[in-house]
Amino acid sequence: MAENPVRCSNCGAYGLAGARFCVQCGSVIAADVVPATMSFQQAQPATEGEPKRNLKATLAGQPSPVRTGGAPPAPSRAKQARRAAAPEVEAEGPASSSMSEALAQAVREQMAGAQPSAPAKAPLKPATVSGPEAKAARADAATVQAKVAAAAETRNRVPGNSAARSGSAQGAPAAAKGKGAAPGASAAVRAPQAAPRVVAEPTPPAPETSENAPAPVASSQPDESAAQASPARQPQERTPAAPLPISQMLEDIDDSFDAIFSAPGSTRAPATAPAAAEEPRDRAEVEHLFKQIALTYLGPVRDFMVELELDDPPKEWIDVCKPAVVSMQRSAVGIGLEDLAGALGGLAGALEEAGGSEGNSIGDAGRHALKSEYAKLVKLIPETFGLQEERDRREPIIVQSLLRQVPEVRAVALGKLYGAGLTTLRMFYMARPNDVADATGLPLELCERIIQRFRDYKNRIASIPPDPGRTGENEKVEELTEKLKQYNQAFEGNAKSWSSRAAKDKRRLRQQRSDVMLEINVLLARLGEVGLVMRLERLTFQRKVKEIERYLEASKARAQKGP
Amino acid sequence: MAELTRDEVVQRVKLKKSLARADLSGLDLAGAVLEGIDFGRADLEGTNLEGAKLRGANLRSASLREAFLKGADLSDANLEKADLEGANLEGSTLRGANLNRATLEGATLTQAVLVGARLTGAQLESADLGKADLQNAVLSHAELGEAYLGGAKLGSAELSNADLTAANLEEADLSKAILNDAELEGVKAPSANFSGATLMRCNFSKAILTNANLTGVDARHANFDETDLGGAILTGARLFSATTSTARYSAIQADWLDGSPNGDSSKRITGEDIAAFLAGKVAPGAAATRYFGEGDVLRDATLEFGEGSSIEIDSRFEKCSIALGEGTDLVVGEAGVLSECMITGGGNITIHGQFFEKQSPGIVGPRRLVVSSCGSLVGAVQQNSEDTVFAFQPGCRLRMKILRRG
Repeated sequence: MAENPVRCSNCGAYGLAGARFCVQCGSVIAADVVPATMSFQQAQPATEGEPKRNLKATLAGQPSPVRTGGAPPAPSRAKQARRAAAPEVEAEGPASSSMSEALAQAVREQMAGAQPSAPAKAPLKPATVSGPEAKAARADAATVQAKVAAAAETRNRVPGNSAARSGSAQGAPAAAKGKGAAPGASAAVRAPQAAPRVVAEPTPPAPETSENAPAPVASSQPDESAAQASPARQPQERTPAAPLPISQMLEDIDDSFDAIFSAPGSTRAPATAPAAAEEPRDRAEVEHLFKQIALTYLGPVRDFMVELELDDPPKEWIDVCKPAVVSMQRSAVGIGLEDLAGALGGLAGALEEAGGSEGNSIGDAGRHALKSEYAKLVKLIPETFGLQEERDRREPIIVQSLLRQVPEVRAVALGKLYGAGLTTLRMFYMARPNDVADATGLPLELCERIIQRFRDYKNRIASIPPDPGRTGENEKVEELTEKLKQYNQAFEGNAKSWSSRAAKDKRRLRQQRSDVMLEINVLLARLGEVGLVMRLERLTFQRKVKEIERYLEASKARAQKGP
Repeated sequence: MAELTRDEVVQRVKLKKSLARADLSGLDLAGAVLEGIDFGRADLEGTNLEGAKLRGANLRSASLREAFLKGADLSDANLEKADLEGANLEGSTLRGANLNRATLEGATLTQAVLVGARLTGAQLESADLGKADLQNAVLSHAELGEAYLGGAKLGSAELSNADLTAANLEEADLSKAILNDAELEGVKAPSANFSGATLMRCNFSKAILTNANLTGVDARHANFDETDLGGAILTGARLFSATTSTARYSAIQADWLDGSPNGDSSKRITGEDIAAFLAGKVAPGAAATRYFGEGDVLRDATLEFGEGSSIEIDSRFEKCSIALGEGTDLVVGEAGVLSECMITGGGNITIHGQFFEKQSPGIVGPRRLVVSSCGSLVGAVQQNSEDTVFAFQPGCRLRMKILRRG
């Protein structure tokens, strides 16, 4: 269970009780600091004519300018900027609090009113925002901090975690990197630290805030500007590291939910009348936030279910998914989301059952039970757990790329196969060459090769050990990218030659290059990187290589940070 | 790196300014309207031109290597000598475009529309033209080695002297296409439709033509060495002088074959004779077939050919007298020259080469005289009691007098 948050007497930042140092300014926290609780409420529109949703931390249960109903003291614009920026200075390494980042990510999405995407996969990115948006963003970043601090404080309890001491400092950069928050992040380099304070409404911009933030980076690119701003961080981001252990992530989930929802005066136990009046709205916020976090933490579960739809994933997936489901179920119970808790419980049971079945793969019964239980979750939160759309995005690319890896399968054969309705992986897994030959009119030998190709693929996929960061697949992509790079270099070398031998080599290398690209497409589609596959199609091979390398770097950085 | 931004390019286009020699490599110009713009010698390597409107644009000698032109409209564009190696032109429209001597090696042209496009001497090795529409396109002398043309529509396309070595033509439609002297060694064309195509002197050695439709093809002098013709339809195929003895033709469908030198169905081969004919065995009535190859010279000779025999001359005959039996076919090939010669008798004479008479009349009593577009005839023709049937293709060169008997 979580302890009561405390407030730093120096900068005003909040942290969980027991923390010896302020997560913001690093000051020693006095033993008699005022405990604080958190609740959420809708903020005023951030700028005129531009309503903006905001999550605002308020104090409850104790004398507080906000809880007493009056307009809270508006901190100066400079302070807001510093608050948003300060953690960037302290962000020492990528091993930041995974939970705090997830929270920040969820909150950012909420602020932007965006449909939740897959935050575990989408790299955090800075963005340049100026004018009113920048002002609002700085205000948002500051308000987010207080909440993030509570969650991030849980990291302090992990012994030997050097980054834990700057828990909120790691959470806030994530917020600062979100939509519209980049100016805050860039200001961090120059601005001294400031205490996070409750923001009642936007105030005019401070003259010293940084409006000329670094140039925006393409959506899937890693956070280069942040890396430049923090030289100490850069080398660490480039060093591959093992993903956070699942147990540690789950600990984060438990602790963070406890910190947010179980503190005195929280939404479940409002201490005062005004807080009670806000309860329905707060509850909606809580539910929304929970769903956002579920999206992140149950990402591997969703991946597993997509795999289950497409293939016959190995049983090891269950070891990856089950703890996350159980933990989220416990949190759902704690918050009072009974329906969700029930559905998660059902899924946990199905996972347990499937894990206990004989053999190396999940049997038909287990598959059926898992799908059935997962369907209940989809019904409850379709936007978070829906699979159909994701499968429809990934599967055609995988199927076509696999088919095109068979030398004789070109436009005519593809047309016949699709014309016969053979469009899914499962169909190719189950079909016999004779059936395919009968249905398509293709030669039997060719059908045998096609089926064999799919079986080989299935076996290869089954041999990749599952993990939340999809390390196995990414390693394979890396290996293939290196191969692609070599082939392309050799191809370009031959392109300059006029000899008949060079022409022959060129033809061979062109084919090899295309084959490798198809393999990469398959893996990227499996990883849900359909957008990347589409982008790659439009690039020259040289730029393809660079783009994939960029993606791999971002993946490694994500794996280091955890979800 | 491109020297201009997309906006700058659009701005220039609005002002109808030339973009010749501009460096636009790697630029994103997807969906841009660039009709009629001059991109001569421009660098568009790796440029994204997806869905761009380039109708009538001048891209002569431009570099479009690995450019992304999916769905682009390049109708009537000038892409002569353009470098499109590895470019993606999937689903693009190149109707009437000029791609003469363009480099399209390894390019993707799947389902592209190239109706009436000119691709003379274009390099299309390893290009993917699957299901592309190339009707009436001109691909003469094009390099199509290892290209994929599966399901492509090549009806009435001109592919003379094209190199299609080891190309894939599965289920392609080549009806009425002209492939004279084309190189098709090792081509894979199962279930392709060649009906009515002209395949004279084509090399189909080691090709796979299983279940192909070769109805009415003119494959005279074609080479079918070790060709797999299993299940092919050969009805009405003109196979005079074609090399078919080593071909595999199990389960072929052929009601009749045309064994006449002129390909005029005057010698129909039917029934059991078909197998004998294809096997290179002497077919009934074909006993006196003679061929005089290119490079040989025959002087002051007197030659007499019996009724029903066939003679083809690609040699040089000087001061020779040739007597033809009734119904004998004499074909003077494109390389054949009959200088100061005389032909007598009621044969069928076809002149693709040259004939110069020794003394007037140089040709006496032919049943039929055809001078093709590449043929020349200098002399007088004396008709027999039955009037001679004359046929002169446009383009033939004649200095002749037609005389009536008596």
